Amino acid sequence: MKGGAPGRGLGAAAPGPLPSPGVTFAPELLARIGTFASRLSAAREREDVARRRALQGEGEEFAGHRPYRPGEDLRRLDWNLLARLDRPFVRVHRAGSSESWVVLIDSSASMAVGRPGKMQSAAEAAAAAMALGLRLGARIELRLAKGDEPSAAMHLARRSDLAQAVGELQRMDASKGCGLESFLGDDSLLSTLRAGSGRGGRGAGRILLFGDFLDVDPRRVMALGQGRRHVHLGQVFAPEEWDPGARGSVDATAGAAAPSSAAPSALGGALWVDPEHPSAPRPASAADIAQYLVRLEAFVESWSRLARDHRMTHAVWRSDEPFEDHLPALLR
Amino acid sequence: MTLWLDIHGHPLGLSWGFEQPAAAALFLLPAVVVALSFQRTRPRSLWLGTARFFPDHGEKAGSERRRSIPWSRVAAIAGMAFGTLALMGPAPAPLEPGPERFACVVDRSPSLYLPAENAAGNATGAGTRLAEALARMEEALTERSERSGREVELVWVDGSEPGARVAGLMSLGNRPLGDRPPSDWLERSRVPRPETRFAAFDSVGTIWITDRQPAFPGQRAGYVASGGAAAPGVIATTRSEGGAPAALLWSGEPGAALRIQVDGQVSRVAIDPALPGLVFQLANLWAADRGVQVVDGGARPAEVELIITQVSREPGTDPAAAGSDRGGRVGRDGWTALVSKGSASSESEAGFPWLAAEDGSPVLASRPGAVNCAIIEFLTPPDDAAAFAVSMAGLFDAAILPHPDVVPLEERQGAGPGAVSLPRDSLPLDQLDPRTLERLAGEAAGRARGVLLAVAALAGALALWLRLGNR
Repeated sequence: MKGGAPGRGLGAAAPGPLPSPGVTFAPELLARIGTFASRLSAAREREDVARRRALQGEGEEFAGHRPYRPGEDLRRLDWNLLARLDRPFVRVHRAGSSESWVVLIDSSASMAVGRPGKMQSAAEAAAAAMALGLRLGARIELRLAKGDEPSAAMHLARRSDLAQAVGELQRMDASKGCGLESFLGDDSLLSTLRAGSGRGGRGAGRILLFGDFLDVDPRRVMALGQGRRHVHLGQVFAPEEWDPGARGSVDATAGAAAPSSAAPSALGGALWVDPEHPSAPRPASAADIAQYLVRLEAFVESWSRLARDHRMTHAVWRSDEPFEDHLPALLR
Repeated sequence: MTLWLDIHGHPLGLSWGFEQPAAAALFLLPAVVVALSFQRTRPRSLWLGTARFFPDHGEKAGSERRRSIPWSRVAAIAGMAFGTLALMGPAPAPLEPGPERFACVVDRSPSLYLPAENAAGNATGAGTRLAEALARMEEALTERSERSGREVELVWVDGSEPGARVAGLMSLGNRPLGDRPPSDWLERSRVPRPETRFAAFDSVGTIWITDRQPAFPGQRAGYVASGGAAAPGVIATTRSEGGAPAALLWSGEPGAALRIQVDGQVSRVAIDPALPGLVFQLANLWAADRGVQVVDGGARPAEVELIITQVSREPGTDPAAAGSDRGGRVGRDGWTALVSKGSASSESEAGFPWLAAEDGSPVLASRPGAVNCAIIEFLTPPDDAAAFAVSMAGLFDAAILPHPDVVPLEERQGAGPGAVSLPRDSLPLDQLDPRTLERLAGEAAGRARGVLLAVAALAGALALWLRLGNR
C-alpha cells in the first residue's frame, strides 16, 4: 500500500507529523559504512580463495594483487611481479565481481515510525550493502521512489558512485514515498530481471529488499527468486513496534518521543495510529498488546519461513540497532 | 484535630495544632496534581507502523477520554500530603498547668490564739497569731501562684489530731486558696489538745502553720510562723492565802515573779441536784476545796468549766429500763459500795467510763468539762470513805476545764519574729507536672512527625516503584 497522507480522517485523535520521515547520513555514519564494507569484503575475499581451492577452473575475473602468504598455492603467485620487484605477490580474482545487484528500499509512511526511523535504518543497511557490493565489483541498481511512484533506476559501478547514491537516499521522504509492493509491481524492474542479470553482466545476481514488508505480497517476492538470483530480505521494525508498552513510544500528537506511560495498565485511552491507515486508530489495553505481539511474531515468522523455504536470506532487526549486527548475516 | 492519649492510666485529651501552619500552602501542590489528573485530556496518539496487528475496537473506544489517576500518582499525592503535614509540625497545644496543692498542718496550741503582736508588742491587726500566720501564708502563696502561673489549692490538717497524716490527703477533699481552715479551728478549743508534732508531717508539699519558727525545720516541708511578743496574763488558777479563789499572773517579763490576783478569774462548776447524795456532797466539798465557784445546775456547758450531771432516771420511770436488774457492787481506787443504777440516756453523754458495774455498764463517765453519773443511790456507803473522796476528787480534777483566760506560761512566751518558708514542691497529685507534660507533648509531636515522614517516604517509594514497574 502506498503511504498516502497520514492523519487524514483521524478526527479527535488526529496525529502530528511522522517522527522520522527522512534519512540523514552523518559523516561518522559514512565512515562506519566504509569500514564495514572493507572488513566484509576482505572476509568475502578469503571465502573466495577457499572456494576456488575446492572448485578449480571456476570462471574468475582478475581483481588485483596482494602479498603472498606462506602456504598458499604457488600457482597463484605472479612470477613476473616477483622478478620485477623481488617480492612475492599473488593474483586476486573475484567471483562476484561480475554480479548485478538490485537494491529496493521501502519508503512508505510506516517506515517513518521510530527513533531512529525504520527508513533511516533501512537506508543505512542499503548503503552499507551497496558499499560492499561496489568493493566486490558488483554493478548495482538502486531503485527509489519519486513521489508515490517508483522512479527510474540509478546505476552504480564504481565506489565513487556511492556518494551519489547516498545523496539520493537522503532525499527519500517516507511521508511521500511508496512501498515495496509498488516496486515489485513495476514493469521496468521485472523486465530488468527477465533480461538476465542486468546490463550484460554475468553471474546469478542479487536482489536486496529493505523495509517492514507490511504490504508486500509474498508471492511477488517468491517470484524474484526464480533462476539463479539470490534474494535478501532485510526486515526492520521500530522499537515501539516490538514492545508497544515499553519506553520510546512515539507520541504522534507531540511528534516526539514520549516517556513511556504506555504500559498496559497506563495506556488507557492511548491511540495507536497506523501511518498508512490513519483513519482507524487502535486503542490498546493489556490484552490488546498481548494479542498484538502474537500477531506481529506470527507475521515475522511467516517471512522467515518463506525465506527458508525458497533459499532466500532473511534478517530482522530494530531500527535502533546498528546495521553491522545484522547485515553480514543478511548478505552471506 | 483531637487525639486521645493514655498517659499513666489517665486519659488526657490533647488538643493538637501545628507549629508551622504556613506550610499548609504546600497542600496546593497535591491539589494541583489531583486537579490536573482529573482534567479531561485528549488521548495520546502514538504512531505505529504495525498498528494493524491490534484488534480493532472501532472508533468509540478511541474517542474515550482519560480520567483515571494512576496508582503511582495516587501514592505520590499521598506522599506529598503526608510530607506537608510533617512539615507543618504537628504538636500538642500548650497545656494549662494544673493547680499546686499543699497540705497545711495547723498548730492548734493555745499560743496560736493569743493576740497577734509583733516583736515590739504592737498589734498587727490580724487578730490571733493563727490568723496572722494564715495571712502570711496566703500572701506567700499568692506570690508563688503569680510567679508560676498555677492555681493553688490547700488541704487542711489538724496537727493535734491523733493519727493525722498528710499522705492520702486526696481522699479528704480540698479547699481553694483563700478559704480558711474549718471555722472551729479559728477559735481556741476549751479542751486541751495534744501538742502538734511537726516532725511527723515532714512531707513534700506540706506547710506547717504555727507561731514560732521550728527549731528543726523539715527537710521537705515548709513552715509559716506568725511570730509574736510575749503575752502577759493568767497562767493558772489557784487560791489566795486566805483560801479565796485567785489567778496566777505572769507579767511577760522573763524572770519576773508571778503575781496572784484574788478577784481574778474563777472556775465554775455546775452540780446537778439530782445526783446521789454522796456524790452531790462530795462535789460541793471538792469545789470549795479547789476554789471553784458552784453555779446553778442548769448552766450551759460554755458558761462553766465543769458540769456534773445525773444522767439516769429512777427505776420504773424509764420504760426502756423496766424489769432490768439495777443493783450491784462497784468500786475502784480501794473503795467499794453497793449501788442501784439506771441507764445513761445516750452513750455520747456518758463519755469515757470511769466506774463500771459488774455487768460492764458504766455508772460514772467523764469527758473534758463533764462528769455523768448513772448511780441512782448508794445502797451501802463506800466501805472506805477517804479513798472514795480522793478517788472522786481525782475524777473532778481531771474533768474540769481550765479557765478560758488561763494560758500556760510556756504558751505565753514570745514566739520571736515571723517567718515564711514555703516547700519547694507541691503535693504529688494524680496530675502530671508541667515539665513532664511538656516532655510528653514533645515526644508525642516527635512521634507524630516521624510517623508522617515515614508514611510520606513509603508513599513516595511506592509511587516510584509503581512508576518504574510500569516502564
